[in-house]
Amino acid sequence: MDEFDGLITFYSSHYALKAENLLIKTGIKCLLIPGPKQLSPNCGVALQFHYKNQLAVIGHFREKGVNFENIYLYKTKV
Amino acid sequence: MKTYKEVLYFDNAATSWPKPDNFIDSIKEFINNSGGNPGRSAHRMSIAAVRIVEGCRDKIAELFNISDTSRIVFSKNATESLNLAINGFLSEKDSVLISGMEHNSVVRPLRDLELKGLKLRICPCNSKGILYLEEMEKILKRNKAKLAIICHASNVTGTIQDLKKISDLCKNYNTRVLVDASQSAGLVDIDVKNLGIDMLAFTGHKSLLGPQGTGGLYISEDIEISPLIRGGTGSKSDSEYQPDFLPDKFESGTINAMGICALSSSLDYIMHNKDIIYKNEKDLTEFFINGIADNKYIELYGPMDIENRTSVISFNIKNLECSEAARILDFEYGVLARPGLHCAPLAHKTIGTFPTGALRFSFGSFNTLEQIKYAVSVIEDIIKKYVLNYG
Repeated sequence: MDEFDGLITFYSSHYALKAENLLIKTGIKCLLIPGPKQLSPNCGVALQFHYKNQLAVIGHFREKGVNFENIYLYKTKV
Repeated sequence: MKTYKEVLYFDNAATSWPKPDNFIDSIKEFINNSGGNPGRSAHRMSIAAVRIVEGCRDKIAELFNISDTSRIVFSKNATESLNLAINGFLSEKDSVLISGMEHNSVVRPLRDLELKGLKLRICPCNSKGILYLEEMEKILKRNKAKLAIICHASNVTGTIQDLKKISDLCKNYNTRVLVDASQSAGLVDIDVKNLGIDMLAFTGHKSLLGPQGTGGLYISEDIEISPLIRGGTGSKSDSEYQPDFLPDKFESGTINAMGICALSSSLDYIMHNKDIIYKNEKDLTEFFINGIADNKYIELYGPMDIENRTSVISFNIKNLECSEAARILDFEYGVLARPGLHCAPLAHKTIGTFPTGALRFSFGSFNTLEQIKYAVSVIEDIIKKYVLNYG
């Protein structure tokens, strides 16, 4: 299985949903999951994606004004 | 006299009824499948609830042509939105201008600030409720108002103000514009960019056909305001201070997700039927006004021009108190209307009906021409029975 190895955290679930919609529209695979608390105390959800798409993701976010907190190389343990 | 067995609901300016068919289904769907707390727990039901809330925010943005959806914050009604805008943007040191047609949801929070030092200027309107622009300019010239608050469509006379002219005038004097769209949102086109609106307060349960307990405020990008309430937002949970980003800054505590879900379904209905809804209400208003305007026992208020008004119509039957007329309409004919001052003493002073008030009919999306024809005949009947005392 093509496992997600990247994670985007957000200040607000408003932006997490906005980001998910944008990435789906642009054909970048992603998945909303509970945000790991060791990475961020912010909104409850974070967005998994393939880290190789990092530059494209940042470009889309900047273009559409999607605020995000950080991007990590991250895999879920299970 | 032949009467309809069903109720004739002409109180849509108080709250719209009935609601679109998909309204109840959407609530059932929410309870059964998405009833989590949006933006909190991040499990599938919480995420499903977030999707619904954000989906509704997107639809509101589309309706009012708002490019940054984070600038739309949900509230429980237009009154809360107006209080947020007024108390969050103004201090007791500021000056504010309002029209003579404002509702108490604007006037009362301002009177409270006035006691602490705020300068409140009321711009007069003519007896039809239309703002005198030249008077507004005089006031703005004399006093630098930080904010102008304008009721887009009157809840007493249905008068629609020319927002573009008002906001253009305000821009010349560096005065920001807050619009109370309680009676217009969902019925009259509102484009916040083209109309130069800085803040827009709306409610969900009137012409947006949503449930009571829903509403919101649009705040433009360059407006800074303080929240009314502070608390948990599901974000910045390590901090004891309120987040400074929108919409979270203004959405503390669990949001009315079930209500927003129903509002979202009503927005689908409105967006698909907007032109039909507007034409229907215009036709009904025109028929009703034409039906009663020439009756010498009726005093009709507000504009006669159908193009610049909504379907809110106030009138009095001579020698019959408006509350008495409303009771007869309800008990004898099943016609539901609202008598009195409609929480807008200032507007009633403007049109000359203070303190006695008026009888208000307000038609909605689901009223029919048959009902309006019947309403005209009922009023004629009441005049015969209770004013002329025969029949």
